[in-house]
Amino acid sequence: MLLLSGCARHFQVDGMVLRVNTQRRAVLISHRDIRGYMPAMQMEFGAAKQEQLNTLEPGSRVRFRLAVSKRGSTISHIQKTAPAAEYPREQPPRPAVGAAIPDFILVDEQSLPFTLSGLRGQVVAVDFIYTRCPLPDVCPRLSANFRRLQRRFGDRVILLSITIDPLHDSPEVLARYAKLWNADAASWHFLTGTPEAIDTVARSFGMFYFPEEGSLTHTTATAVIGRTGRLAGIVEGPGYAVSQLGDLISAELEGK
Amino acid sequence: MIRKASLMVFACAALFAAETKSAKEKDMCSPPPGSIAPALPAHLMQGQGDIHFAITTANSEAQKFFDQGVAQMHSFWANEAERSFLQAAALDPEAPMPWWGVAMVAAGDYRPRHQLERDTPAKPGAKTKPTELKGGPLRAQEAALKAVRLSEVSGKATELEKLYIASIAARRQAKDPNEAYIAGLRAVLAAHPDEVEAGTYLALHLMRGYTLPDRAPREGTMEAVNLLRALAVKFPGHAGVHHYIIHGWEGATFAAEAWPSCERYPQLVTNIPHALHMPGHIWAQTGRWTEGEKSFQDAAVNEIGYMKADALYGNYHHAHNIEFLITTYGFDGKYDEAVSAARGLMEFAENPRQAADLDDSYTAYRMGWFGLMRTLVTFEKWDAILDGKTLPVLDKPREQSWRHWALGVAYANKGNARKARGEYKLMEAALKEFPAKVDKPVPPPLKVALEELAGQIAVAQKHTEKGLKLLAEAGTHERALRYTEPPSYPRPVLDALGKRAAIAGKADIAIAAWQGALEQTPGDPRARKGLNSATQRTASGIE
Repeated sequence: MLLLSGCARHFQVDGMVLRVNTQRRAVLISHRDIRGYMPAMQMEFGAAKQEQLNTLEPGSRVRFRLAVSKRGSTISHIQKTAPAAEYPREQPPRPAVGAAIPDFILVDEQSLPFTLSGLRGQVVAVDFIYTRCPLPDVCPRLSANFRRLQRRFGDRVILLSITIDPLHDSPEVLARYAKLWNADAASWHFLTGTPEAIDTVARSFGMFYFPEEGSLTHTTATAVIGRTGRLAGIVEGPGYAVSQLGDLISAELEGK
Repeated sequence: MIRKASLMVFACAALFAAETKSAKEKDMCSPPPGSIAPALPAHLMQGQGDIHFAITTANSEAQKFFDQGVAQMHSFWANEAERSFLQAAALDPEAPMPWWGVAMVAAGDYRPRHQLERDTPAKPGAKTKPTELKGGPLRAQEAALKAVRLSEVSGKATELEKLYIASIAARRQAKDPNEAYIAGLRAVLAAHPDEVEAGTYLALHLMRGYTLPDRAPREGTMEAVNLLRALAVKFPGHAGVHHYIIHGWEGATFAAEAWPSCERYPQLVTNIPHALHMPGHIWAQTGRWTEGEKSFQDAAVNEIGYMKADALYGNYHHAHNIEFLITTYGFDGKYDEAVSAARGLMEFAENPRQAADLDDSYTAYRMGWFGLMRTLVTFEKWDAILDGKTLPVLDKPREQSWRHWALGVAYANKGNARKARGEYKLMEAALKEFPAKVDKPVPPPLKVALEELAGQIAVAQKHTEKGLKLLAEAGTHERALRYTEPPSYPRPVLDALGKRAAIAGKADIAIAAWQGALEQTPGDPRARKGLNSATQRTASGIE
């Protein structure tokens, strides 16, 4: 969207933060098409004000104003775009980017024990779903996104889909679900466990969920974990562009 | 450091908030369909009712799931019925009738007409545009269109099936959906007079209940009653017939005529909580407390099984069932059982959405709290009410208002008019603030409660005539409250009036009050006992 103001050209832009460089007052963003200016791509932008970067981290979905003039381009009015909750709640703290993710032991769709620490040295993406989620824009969308990531990255990235409905989502149920999504068993794992174990893992990612009549109300979080087991970024909500999540993973793979 | 609050998307919250807001105005006697379609697979289940409704399909499994869906629909198990219909549709994608089933149940309006009109009173001039539909109503409309489209394929639907589809399609499309649906069902019956399915659906949509307090049948009700009487003779093994007899007779002066169906229905449908629960409505309102308690207990056992098997089953219907059990124990003089049942409901923690809702009076916890308050007042446990512990403080506008009422009534009955007056003022202030706090008008039962409390205080102040008059007025207003099961008022005002009048030596007022209470709740043991005593005292000249 083009905004006119003075001599500079202004655009409203949506994107996902990949890296924040506070020393250079810059932020690497995977952005959507900027109509009339440039197609969707990864790009580093200089911020007009340092303090606008303070709340950003990899995975943050943002909307901002891009000003382009003869002297260069800067971004301002940076807003996180995830909507606020409908009602107040106590939410588990979300892990900080760079924090070590606690190890866990769950069970995969083949009924085999599965540990996070066993993936050390690999880049891992984690989301939380439940197989009977009937909202096409939530869990099925997350799984569709992982399917696209698997096509893009193959076994260079390990995908973990952890159920938040463990009493229903047994390994057998998860195996059927994996088949539904054509998941490659070598690199996309579907995990379940006791409700207590699942709750512990979900809380360690800041997930919040509870049962309602006929479904689970839940937040969504898709995390990218680096080779050292530290959180590289966390994406809120199911409405992200899968290409942007892919860019976040690429950045981690390439060590940007 | 990243600010952590308010960042994550609440994927389903908005959707459920909308669903819950609309559901809030309803009783939870029949579990509503979900705002979103149930997930597959469905499973064939025992004890759903032996219904066979032959449809055009070459897939025998699809026929089984369709039959199950119809059976579940007859017991108002909308979510499971929709799941069964969707399973049938998945098994035979070309069959139109499974989509007819979805069109019938998904909107949540497959219930007695009097319930629909009570929950959604007609607003003059209000129009519903198809584009405004969402959730279940939208699914129902889309399913009706799909059924019509599939039925137009040569050989995929009989003329009878097309008539059924036309009836529900008319309901989902017409400007006057009720009349269009009724006309559609009459068209089925005109061509096929022995169609029990069409007969039951028509009866359900004709029954508009009874006026209060005189219990006169509204237009359409007696046609439904007579239709069901005829169907019961022709189809004595049809679960829907017996279920709808219970709904058609509840609230009537002749409710006891439904007793045979109360016996038969749970024999035909042994594994659906609502089917086990529903006879309790008639048993309770005709004074057969023991049978009512058994209905609610059986339903609870059945439903707890489903709740244990599935964390997403929910507890709204269970809470309604137990609330009715508590009320029935109250009439039956079973204090300990009533308290135990209420406390059982209060063990259900509210989820975050419920806890944040200032006026979701249908959470299990709040229904348990109300049941406990109801029990304490019914059994005149004034000291327990006043001890500040037995009835926990629930910091929500509705429950705070009821708490002030219970405290006020307790103080008045203990003879402490000054403190009762203090609670009256607190209750009055709470009700004044209520609309602004919860964006709803003051619930009518609370208005009656304030009137009753004024009467109780006047009696405590020795202004007996004035007090009895105020209580009588409150009693009249209570009897005119909208029909709900169990009654939305904690216990009949007329029971309290009778007792107060008897103590004051006003035998004529006491007798009239208890007679009224017995009209209101046939078999009310307190009213019967009080009436017998007052009548005997009057006859022996004691008064």
